[in-house]
Amino acid sequence: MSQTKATYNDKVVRQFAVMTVIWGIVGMLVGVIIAAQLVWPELNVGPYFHFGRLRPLHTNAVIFAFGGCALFATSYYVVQRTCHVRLWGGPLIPLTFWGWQLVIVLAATTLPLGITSGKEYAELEWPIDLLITVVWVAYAFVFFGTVGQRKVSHIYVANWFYGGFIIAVALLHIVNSMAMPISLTKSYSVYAGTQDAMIQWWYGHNAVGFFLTAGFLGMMYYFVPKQAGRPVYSYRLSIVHFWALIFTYMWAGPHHLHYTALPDWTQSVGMVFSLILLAPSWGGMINGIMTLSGAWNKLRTDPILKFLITSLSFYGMSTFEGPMMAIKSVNALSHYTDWTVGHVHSGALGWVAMVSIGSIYFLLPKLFGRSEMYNHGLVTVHFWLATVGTVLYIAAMWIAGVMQGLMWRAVNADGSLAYAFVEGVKGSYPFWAVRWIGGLFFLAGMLLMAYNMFRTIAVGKATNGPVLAPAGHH
Amino acid sequence: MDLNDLRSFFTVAGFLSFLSVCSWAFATEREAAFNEAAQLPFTDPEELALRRKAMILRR
Repeated sequence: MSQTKATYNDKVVRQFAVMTVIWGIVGMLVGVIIAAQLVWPELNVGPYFHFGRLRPLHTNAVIFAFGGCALFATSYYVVQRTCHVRLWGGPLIPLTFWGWQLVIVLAATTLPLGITSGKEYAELEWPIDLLITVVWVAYAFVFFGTVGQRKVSHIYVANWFYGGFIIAVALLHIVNSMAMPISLTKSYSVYAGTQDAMIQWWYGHNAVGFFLTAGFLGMMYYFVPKQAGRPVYSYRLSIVHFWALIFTYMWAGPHHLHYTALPDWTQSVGMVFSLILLAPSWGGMINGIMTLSGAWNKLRTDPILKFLITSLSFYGMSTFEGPMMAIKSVNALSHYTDWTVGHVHSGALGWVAMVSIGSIYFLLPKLFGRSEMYNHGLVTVHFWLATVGTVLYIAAMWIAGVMQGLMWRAVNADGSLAYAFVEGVKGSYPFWAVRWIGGLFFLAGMLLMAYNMFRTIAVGKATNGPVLAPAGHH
Repeated sequence: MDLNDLRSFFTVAGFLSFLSVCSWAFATEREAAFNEAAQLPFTDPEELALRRKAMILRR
């Protein structure tokens, strides 16, 4: 066996880890820009840099570029370590990296140009959708190929979550992206009317459930035990957590379509399943946080654990808030307001970004042959910037959202609306400014991370870990 | 049999499959295997090699 074959494939992990930070900065910068555009409308310089074109760029960049690269990096790292085998797939491995980067660049080009299929979180036009499918199938081959080659009998629970995420996202992407092309840059969905809306939000909510949750729970189940230095609190609970989450999430999509043309019973099914989701979500959160029981003191000094455990707290908060917002009567107040935006960012900044940042801080020194990050203190500074930024953001959006909901539904004694729409906009201004400041805090933390990362790379050298026979196995 | 019976059956079957996942996961005979699986992040050969190296260097 040659030397290269005897080591883990960390090249692709390094590539994805570095790009996670870069795309994180790009995506969050666009977020800060569109937040500023809401405060200062003069910043809408059209047509290419108008809010309507930059907003999908922001969501695509943070979800698929930042989140996606973090998922690729960590899943490739974890699957090799827990299967005790080198990544399988040969040329498919670099294909996933370069293919995914091409998807991101194409998204960043076409969205400002106004080329969009108009489906939220699935805006990319059909040629890019086809490329995503190719990359994703390659990803599935690499991941499951590696699991198939494993030298240990058990498939570690993190790999179940990563595997579930990969399969579900393939299914969602292919079904929701079914479209009839009329030119290279324009296509129309094959579904019509209410069915199209239902398919879209079946996709949309499961993009949250599988892309933004299941994959990141895979991260949690590896990096929290690893950093805490103790196995997961309950392995059995993790199995129940997995199956309950997978079965329940699929049905929750209709809560995005309360009080629409969607049949009432379908809305109720969506609401009930969203409420049930509280149980597996909190089961998983408790499992992650309790992993630290007996080692709580580590939270005081270890900024990576701070990121990981705080992310779980935000996960618990947003998975409590989500089911509540899915209740029809609550949704009547919250829907179409900034409360939804606040809820999404409680999950996106507090949970998804923080667990990714913690995991990438764990990975970077190991991937570049150092014992820890170049500047340990900056990681703590980053943690506080991220936490303060998230709290500012979601608190501002809660207040603005509830205010908007109350203003929109307020009626005079004669039944006419008490407020014009623009009065709600006027009342929201100060909170949109606070949201922009919160975003700046979060972005500043990412810039520190990039500085710290490049200094770590400059000092360290890239190493490939050895693959030895698994201990205690025959 | 009307369609609603099928719907009820589906709900009951869903609940029973949840209970069977629970009973499978919490069965005592699988405890040892799960404990072993929970150690997988720590039995990683790279990790063990690093730990051995650290022990040697300390002595």
